[in-house]
Amino acid sequence: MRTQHKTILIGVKFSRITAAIARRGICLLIVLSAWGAPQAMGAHLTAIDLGDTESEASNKVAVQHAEIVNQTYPGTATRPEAAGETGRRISPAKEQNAGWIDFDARVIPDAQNYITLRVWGSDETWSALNLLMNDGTVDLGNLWPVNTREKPFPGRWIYRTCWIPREATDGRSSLRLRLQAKAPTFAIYNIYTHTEPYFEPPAGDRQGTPFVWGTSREKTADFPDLEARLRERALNDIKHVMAADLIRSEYGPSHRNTLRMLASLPLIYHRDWSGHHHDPQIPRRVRDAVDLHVRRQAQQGGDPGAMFYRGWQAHGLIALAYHRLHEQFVELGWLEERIDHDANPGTPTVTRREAYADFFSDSFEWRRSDRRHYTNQPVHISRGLYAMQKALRMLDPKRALTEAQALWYVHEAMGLEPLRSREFGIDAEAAGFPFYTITDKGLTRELGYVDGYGELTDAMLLLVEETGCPRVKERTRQFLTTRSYFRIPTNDGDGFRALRGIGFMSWRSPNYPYMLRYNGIHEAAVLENPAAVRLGQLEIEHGRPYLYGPTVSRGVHWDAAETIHEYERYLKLKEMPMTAHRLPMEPGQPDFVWADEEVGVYVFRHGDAHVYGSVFHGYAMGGEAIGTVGPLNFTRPDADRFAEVRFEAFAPPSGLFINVDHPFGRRAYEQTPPPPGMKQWQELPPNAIDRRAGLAYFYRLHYGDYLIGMNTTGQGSYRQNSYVLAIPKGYASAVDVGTGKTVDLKQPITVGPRSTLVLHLIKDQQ
Amino acid sequence: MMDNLLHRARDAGVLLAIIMASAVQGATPDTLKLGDAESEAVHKVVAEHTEIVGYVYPDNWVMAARASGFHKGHEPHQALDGKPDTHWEISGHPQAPMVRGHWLEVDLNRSIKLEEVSIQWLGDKPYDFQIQDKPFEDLRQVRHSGKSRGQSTELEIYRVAEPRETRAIRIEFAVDPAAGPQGIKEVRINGLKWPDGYPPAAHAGAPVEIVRRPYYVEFERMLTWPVFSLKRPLADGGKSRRVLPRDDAFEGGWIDFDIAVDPKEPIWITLRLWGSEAKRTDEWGNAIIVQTLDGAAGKPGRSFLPRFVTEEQNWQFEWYGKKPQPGRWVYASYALPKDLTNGKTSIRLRLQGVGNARRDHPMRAASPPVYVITSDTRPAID
Repeated sequence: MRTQHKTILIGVKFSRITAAIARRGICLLIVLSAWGAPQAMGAHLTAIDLGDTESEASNKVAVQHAEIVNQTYPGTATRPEAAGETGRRISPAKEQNAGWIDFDARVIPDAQNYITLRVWGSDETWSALNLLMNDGTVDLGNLWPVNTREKPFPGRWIYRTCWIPREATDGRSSLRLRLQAKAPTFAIYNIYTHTEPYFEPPAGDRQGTPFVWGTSREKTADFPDLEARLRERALNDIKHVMAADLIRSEYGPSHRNTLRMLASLPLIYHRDWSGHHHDPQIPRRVRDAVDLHVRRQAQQGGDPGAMFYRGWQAHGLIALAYHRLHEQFVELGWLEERIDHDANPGTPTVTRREAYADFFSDSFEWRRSDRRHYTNQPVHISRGLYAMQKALRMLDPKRALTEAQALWYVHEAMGLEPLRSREFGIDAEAAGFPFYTITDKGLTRELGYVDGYGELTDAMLLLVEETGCPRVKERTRQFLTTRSYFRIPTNDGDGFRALRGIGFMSWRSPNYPYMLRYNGIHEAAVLENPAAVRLGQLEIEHGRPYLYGPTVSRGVHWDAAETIHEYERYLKLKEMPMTAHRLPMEPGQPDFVWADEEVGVYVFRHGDAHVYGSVFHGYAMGGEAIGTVGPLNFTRPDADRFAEVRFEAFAPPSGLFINVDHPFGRRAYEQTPPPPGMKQWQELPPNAIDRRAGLAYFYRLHYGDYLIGMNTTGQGSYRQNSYVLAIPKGYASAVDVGTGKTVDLKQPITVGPRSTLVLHLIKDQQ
Repeated sequence: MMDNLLHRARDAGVLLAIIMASAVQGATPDTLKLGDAESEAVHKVVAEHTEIVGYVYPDNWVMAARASGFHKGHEPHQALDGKPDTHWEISGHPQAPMVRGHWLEVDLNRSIKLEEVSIQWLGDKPYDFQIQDKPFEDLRQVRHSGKSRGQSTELEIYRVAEPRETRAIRIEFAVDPAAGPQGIKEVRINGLKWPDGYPPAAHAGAPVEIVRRPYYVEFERMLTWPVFSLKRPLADGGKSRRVLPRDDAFEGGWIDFDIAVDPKEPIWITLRLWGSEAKRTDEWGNAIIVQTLDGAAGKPGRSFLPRFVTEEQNWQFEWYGKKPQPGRWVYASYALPKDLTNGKTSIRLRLQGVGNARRDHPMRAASPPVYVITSDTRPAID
């Protein structure tokens, strides 16, 4: 793939060679020394100590609204003395122009250059920071394109490395750069430029106190027994629901909460501990509410889409409320009552059964016609589709789908059946290259990895319970197990041990750090597989529920059903034996490599290093074409490397290009070849396209002493191929991080379809 | 393109899935008769959730009727409906440029050897009449002339001397203004009994359809002329397979088969379906896709919708209806790209029952029965 100037010509020739060899299913990667003049790892072209007069002068540092700050930190075992460091914080006032720091930087012409900022992990002020050149007229990119809502790496340094576009550095050995922010941002202590993506701090640099996982949060004296607290919360939510005005039908800021409460009424009715077990007012309230919805939809011309607009879940929640009380409706004879279903005196009344059947049938057909494709969307929508069909089967079986047929939509949403909600999915399946909303290995499929919207176990648990389908349960178990790779030990704001998710490499709304992530009580009780049980038991062990007050915070996502379920699931969890399973990133666990080649994500652990990264992240037309930049987070207990690195990407030539005008120049990004029978990938609409157009067949990333080779081609697909991983010079041997075995670098190292190899390279000492 | 295919697929209810394997070796055209044990064995047919069905219809000849004119409520096809209380009726002179008498013309679905025509006349006045055949496209020739008995209670049989092949029959009679409304209650051809030979429609859902066609009189083109199409069934009574829906699955059954292809030319796969469902297929929720089956395990691969669907059987016939229609053969033709068959002499395909062209609706009704599958370098419409 044409990633750098030097590779362009070689790459063309290589592609032809590739095509010839590809018939044998083997692709030969040629080691390219196209990174420019070899530079010793850790060698810095520029090293600026901000706040140090001499260092600033020698690099001609000039500033605007960037005051000096001082950072002190305590001693460590190896360096017991306390110390201080100086840096600068760009902090323009609202009425001021942006603040900036200008400096001279040395670069290597015709090589990939990087900039690294040394940032204090306990900082509490974070916002975008752009790198510019030419006196701030050319924007080279945002060096902090993530949300940071808390201290990302308390007490330690973060080395933020970003690539500098070649267009800015080619042919030059120095340039004047600017770091600019329009709002107060984090303090910068040091600035470096270098040509290796892996940043090695100077030997004399002082690091913070290595991370130690704190102790578990203990129950406070005023906190009751956990079971009692969870029951108290559930009863408080039940009280709230019973007092709420739910006999209403409207589109507005609170309609989602109203409908969720409506759907939770039957749960309250059926539970003997709720205080409203078999309370006759509950079926009456549900009946009156559903009648209102039916009437309003009829008044809207029978258009379900006019009820709640995009509302993915609304009609499904109404269906849940109904079918959970269908038996009561039958017993009370309500279904055969004639009702005014449309508030139109000119039309005859119909039985409630007919009116409800029409309502759910029409709503199903409307919702079915747009099931969307970003995984969380079809998951939520399919829940409603299934519920509507369940209601319809009870009301009018002849009009309803069978259970198996209704389940298909859930299976489609769970990536068990090919996506057919979008033209690109239909076309791809017709071409023999089906698209699934969840990868084989269990990650969601929006563009690449996604944090919040990718944490879908809570929604999937609902599907598990409401469908009772074994396939759905197994798939959710797999999903949860996959997600367990994205749980890392951290300490909460009070210093207690906790688990955090991974968000820095989310293709949309990335977060660094991501929030604390627990859903274990629910997951363990419903899924019961080792990873889920461990997560549930850790949630208790870490004392997270000891933060629970007697009442749930009723925000936009609040659902009384969840509170009810949490209590009941805790009762089940607490009876489960302790599991021996450990999460991959828990302390003391062995080295491993895990990757999901379908979305270009890799995770590995090697000794005390935790590494997460993505080669398919959205740079370059959001996955429409192949990109060669991606995020990587290399964490050791004492320092964090948070980087945007460049890598090599390989695919057969397609002749299909997308041009992007960056501020620093226009680039042509090539797409992968579409499946046989398709002449090109879709271009429109902008979001509903097949982003495998931008998933290269093979990626190679050399980062420090690690070499990653990822083969994304699928076995049996038109892309199937194996690649030989090119080994950089200067290494005598390597260890396969995943297996721990020594690898003979004199033999070709082949990476087969849908597999990832991570080598720890060992330098040649000669 | 997709919308067009969707529409056509809805009409046909068939999508084509193509399976890649080598089983049948041979040249195209290659024909597989589904339901025929021998043909299925040769083509290594394997089917699940299908049923063998056959529709036996009598050899019905009468297809459509038109006339020089008619009174509303007494359209020409009512002379063929077997009902004693209906008739074709006209009065006055035919409109210019028609100069001779009034006429009733009956179109047949194929050529027959016309031997006799039976007519039950309207009214008790005798008719001076001719019976004409149409041995060639626009040529009509008198085969019998005479005078009726002047009664209206029973059929009068008129034998044709020297019977010969014809596709249409015209009964023409002189105008008699004094006779009042003239017309015909019933017509029978070659002794065919009603209703087998003359049902107004094969199904209740297939009413008599009025199609306006250009019509020539004395070499002068009349702008349009109403033709009353009876939509008669034409099943040959052979066997077929229907793909069935499944309650336990989203999609329906399937039929796997080998069929010969041309190693150098792109291939068309044509399904001959019996379109006897009164409801449109998208209302039923049935369709068939053709899929490739890839690899030794025969995993479904690429899939295809029909490129077009037609009921055309006879290219000479001026009268075409909407597609599909009950009582009609329907031909769904799928174009296979050359890359699938290049260098091969046969492939393995699957007919997969689905609910719609997007495959996001369950199959909820049996597909139209598939009688014949043909592989050829062009669409096969027999």
